[in-house]
Amino acid sequence: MGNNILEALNVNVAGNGEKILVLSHGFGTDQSAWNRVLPYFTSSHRVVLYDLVCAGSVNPDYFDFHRYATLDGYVDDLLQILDALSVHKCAFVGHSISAMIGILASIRRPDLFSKLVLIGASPRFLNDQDYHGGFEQIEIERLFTAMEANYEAWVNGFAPVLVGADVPTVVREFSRTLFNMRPDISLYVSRTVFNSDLRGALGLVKVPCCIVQTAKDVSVPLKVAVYLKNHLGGRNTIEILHTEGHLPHLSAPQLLAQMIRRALPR
Amino acid sequence: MAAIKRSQANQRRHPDAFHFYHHHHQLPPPPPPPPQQPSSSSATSPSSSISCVKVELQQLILSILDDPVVSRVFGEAGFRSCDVKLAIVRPPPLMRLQRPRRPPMFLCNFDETEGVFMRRSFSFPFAAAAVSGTGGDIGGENCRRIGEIMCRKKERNPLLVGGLAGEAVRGFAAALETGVLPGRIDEVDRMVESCGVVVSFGDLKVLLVGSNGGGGGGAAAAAAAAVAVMDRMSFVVSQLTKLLERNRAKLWLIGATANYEAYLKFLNSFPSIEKDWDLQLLPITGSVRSPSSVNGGFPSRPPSLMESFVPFGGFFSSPSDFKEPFSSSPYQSLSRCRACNEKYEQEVSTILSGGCSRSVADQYQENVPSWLQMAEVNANIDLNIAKAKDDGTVLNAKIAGLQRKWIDICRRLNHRPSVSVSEAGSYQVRSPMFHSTTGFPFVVKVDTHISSSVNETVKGTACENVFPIMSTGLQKFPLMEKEIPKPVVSEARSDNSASELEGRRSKSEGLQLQSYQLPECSTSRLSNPSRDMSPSSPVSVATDLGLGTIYAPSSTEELNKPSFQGHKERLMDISGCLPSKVDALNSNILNPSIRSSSGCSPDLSSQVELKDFKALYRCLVEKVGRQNEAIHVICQTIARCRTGNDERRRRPSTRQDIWFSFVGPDRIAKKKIAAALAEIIFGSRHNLICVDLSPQNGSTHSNTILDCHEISGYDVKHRGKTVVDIIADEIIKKPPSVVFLENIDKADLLAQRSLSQAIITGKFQDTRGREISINNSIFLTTAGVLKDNKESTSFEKDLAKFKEERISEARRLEMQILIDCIPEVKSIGDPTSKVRVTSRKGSFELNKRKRSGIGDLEGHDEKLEFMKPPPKTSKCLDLNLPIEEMEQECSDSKSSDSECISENSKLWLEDLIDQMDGTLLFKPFDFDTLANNILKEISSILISTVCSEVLLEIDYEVMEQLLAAAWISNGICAIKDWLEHILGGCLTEAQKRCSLNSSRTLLKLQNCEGMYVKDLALGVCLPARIPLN
Repeated sequence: MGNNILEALNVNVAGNGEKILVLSHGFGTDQSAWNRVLPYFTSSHRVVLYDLVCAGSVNPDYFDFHRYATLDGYVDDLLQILDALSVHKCAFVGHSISAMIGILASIRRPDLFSKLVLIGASPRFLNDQDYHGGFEQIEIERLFTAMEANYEAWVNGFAPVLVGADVPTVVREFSRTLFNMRPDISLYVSRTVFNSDLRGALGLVKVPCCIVQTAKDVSVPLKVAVYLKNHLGGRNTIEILHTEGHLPHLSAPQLLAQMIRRALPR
Repeated sequence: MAAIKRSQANQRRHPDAFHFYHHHHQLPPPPPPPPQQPSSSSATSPSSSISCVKVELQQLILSILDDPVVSRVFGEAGFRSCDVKLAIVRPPPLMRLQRPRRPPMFLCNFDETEGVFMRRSFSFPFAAAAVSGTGGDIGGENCRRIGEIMCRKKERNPLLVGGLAGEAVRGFAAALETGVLPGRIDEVDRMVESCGVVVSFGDLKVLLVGSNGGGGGGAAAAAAAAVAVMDRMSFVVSQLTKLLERNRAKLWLIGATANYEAYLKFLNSFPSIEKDWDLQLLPITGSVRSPSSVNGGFPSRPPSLMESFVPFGGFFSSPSDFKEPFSSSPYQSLSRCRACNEKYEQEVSTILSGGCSRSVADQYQENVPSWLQMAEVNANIDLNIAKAKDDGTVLNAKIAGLQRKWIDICRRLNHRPSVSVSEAGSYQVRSPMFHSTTGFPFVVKVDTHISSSVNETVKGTACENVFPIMSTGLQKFPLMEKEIPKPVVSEARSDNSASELEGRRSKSEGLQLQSYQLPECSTSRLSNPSRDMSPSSPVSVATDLGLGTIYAPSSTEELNKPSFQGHKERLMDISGCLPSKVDALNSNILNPSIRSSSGCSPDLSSQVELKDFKALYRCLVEKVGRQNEAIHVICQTIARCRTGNDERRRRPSTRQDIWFSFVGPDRIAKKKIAAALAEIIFGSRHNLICVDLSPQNGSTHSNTILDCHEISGYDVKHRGKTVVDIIADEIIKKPPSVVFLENIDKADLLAQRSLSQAIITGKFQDTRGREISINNSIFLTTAGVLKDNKESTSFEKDLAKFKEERISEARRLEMQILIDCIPEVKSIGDPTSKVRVTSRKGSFELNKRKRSGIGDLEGHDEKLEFMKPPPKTSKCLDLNLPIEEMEQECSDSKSSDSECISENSKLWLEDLIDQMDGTLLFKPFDFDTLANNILKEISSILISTVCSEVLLEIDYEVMEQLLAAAWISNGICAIKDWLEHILGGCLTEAQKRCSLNSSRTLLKLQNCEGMYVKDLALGVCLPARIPLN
């Protein structure tokens, strides 16, 4: 078995190395987001690529609104894929929502992961008394309302902000994948993400993590990276990329790839 | 438009459906949309045919229906757009092509057979979802996972971790309905004898307050009380442990903690607790209810979307090829009638694990294939009980009982009669999921039993009959109405004779003790006194600090590294870099042949020039002004290559690309040579491509003097591209060109690959596999200082007062002149020199203090460190470290950067350089002489403007700025003008302002930290004015 999920989530394995690297994309993109990072790893790693079930490239029928009510559904998918590929040890690179998924997966199966690279990760997006996640509840609600009202307009406004606005090709690319998501799924996933709170569980992570953060990211303040570093239970490092935007793998692939390469062996 | 795009995307996902498109294509606009369809959609659809976007109409309509606005309108009109969609997508298969304009169906005109068909092939998970309502989603997920853990044999007592863990426990208790706990441990003990019990010890916090009080208690008076509390806490814990030991099979513990740190503290107090209590940590991340959510419950989908976006399984594909990939998940649970399913799963798996030696986890992998087969069979035959019988196992009896109980639960749970039918239907459809969950073939059969029974509306037999069959699962049923007697299943592994009476007894006990939660109430009582005196927060803060400092060294290293790299030379474009003035100066000396050549077409001129080695040499020397030996080699090589009589060349003579490797210092000279070559050989400076291969050519703006002529907008243009693509694009744009590649020793793997290939094949390949001819191009590459070379120059370097590394880091800062008095005692050492430069030593010490100040801050507050823009921070660090130390750190970070890569790339580099046509050794630029000249110049200016008794002290960093400015332009003549006019003007003003005739006046020329030059003086990269302070 396993072929089913491998097919449904468009699992691809590229490269020929001994070590296995999983690239997991974030909200609003699909695995094509890694295209420009991928060549840096194919010579040294077997790279596993897949689409999250919420991605526009996956048949929306597979999106079970109950299964994916929490991030655990996604974690199940990931673990299932790895099992189906009989992966015993891998390094995991996750972006935004996938970073959260990676954290949870590593809690559940610590032996499976040798390293987590968390790009633009946040354990909690909403602000709290003594935690600054970057968003207020009202802002979020406004965001949701905007998504609901006119998805296309929202995409067109949201994409440049998130990407960092000065890379038109990347904005186009991101808008495309974001737009491929069905609006209701997109909304649902964002709600799931914004309702998730991983803070309490961070200490359970024993896998060494590398937290990658761009110098300016509208959705994740720098403080969050520090918080992650201090609370994740393993040996952690922070890497600040000297670029802007939430999608460094699109906007600064080279920078990111170099950084990941450096981070992986440690 | 949105709809069109979406439908295109959809279409891509379903290429099999696409051929229908051809049949639909010629038809006039879509099949009449339902009358309720709002104008927006009907306006959109014709536009699609006009603009010739290839969209299948069916898909288009579906996409339109996906639009929230549309579906809302539908909803208001009383139609659920899912029904409409269903009707559109599912016309009877055979008729699809014959009657493409078949009117859409609505629920009302569904005929019965079709309805059955639908039900069989699709699940209706979301109808049930709507029933269960919002808020069920996440809670259900959590419960399911708790259940999973409890079903295990080891580590089966979940401890929920997360901000919302407490809520999850409550949710689970609510789901169990009987998860209510007795008040006293001994009562529990008694109760456990009769049935399985889940004991919630509540939030770990309450256990912890006691231990905190003991550890970090502040008030002396409270200390004693705290100790007492501590004792009682350990008593509770030990009691629980004993209890658990006695009743391992029937007792579960459940607890919650807000964060992992709290658990660690708990672990500190009771080190063996994890083993004693058989705990399994379970992260809870989803909030059942976000604290300030406007929507109240779990804001899954807004109500308006709730009905409209019901995705039907197999919606777009034909029923036969619809797969349910996720139902195969071993972690999967049913999506409706959640509580029932959960219990069912648990019970089944408990039975199974009881009856079978293999653990459930093992069977996930092993059994999946078998269930898959089963699932298919099952889907085809559906309610085939006979089939199920084929798989009869020893457990038949048990499972039959389970089934009956299950039916009963379901009957009770379906408190909304209207739903029950659809639910029954979905049971049939979803049956594969059961198999997946448990991984047992015979579960299939059980399931079909159930669904069939439900269909027949068989009333479950009395609860009591069910009891004996069940073994140790969670035996409280999730009943909706409290007055319904709670069926408490007694433990009976494999004998069916457990007494009805026993069951009743335990049930009544459960009712009695319903409202007590043992640990919670007892511990909260205990902890009351200590709560206010020792809040747990200080302790947790301390822990945080500890965690933070353990890895502090590594973290700072991490931080510094990128910034160091940020220092590495950045891409510079000579074409913009040569001051126009120099050009003007030079132009009249230019060799006439060059002048003419620039007017000619590049090819012709290059032919003329290249054969004339001497002319080329002369031009280059004129333009560059130094490094004559290197220039000599270049010219020789070019002439040799171009005339084609080069026996040393390994490449075929048809290849006209020439490769050079520049080694050694004086980066500016290298750039000048590159620019000059581009101009002389290809006719224009625009034929120069400058690319820095080191990875840090990102978007940082370093503000160094060297960068000041860089083409602005470079970053924007190239962001998001790899270096390889940038080079490729540029080569395409300006075909014969000089490609100046800096730092090839830091090239990434892709660039390495492309370059190696290019030097061998003559084609440069970009990341998309496109190959670009590099014929006629000249490649100039610079590498960081190579090993052997470094040694030879290091001696000179140490002696030199000004060094290239530092000068290339000189920043474009504003300058100012301060007027000061010389202390009497400290008279001028050398009365002849009116101008002096502060020693670097002094400035170093000063900065050292600053640095340590910063260091302290960093130690205390990491955030501060992070909030600073890293490049700038590091720049300060650089400047303040002595050269040796800096180099050390640089190389350190380098080596740790790429331990594994560096070896390979070194080999690669050697290999590449081997294949090149020439290697040029550059000599270090003599900054000290230049500095002396500048000082002389300044001193003469000073004497001529101000009276003789005045001293001018120039800050070391200012001097570096001056040197850098002179370096990038052509020596001292370039900044002479600036010195005369701007510095001289400032000095004159200074004299005017103050009476500078006393011998004690000291003028200090300093830079202004943090203020970068805005107005540049004409022709040089120095400030346009120097304010007087």
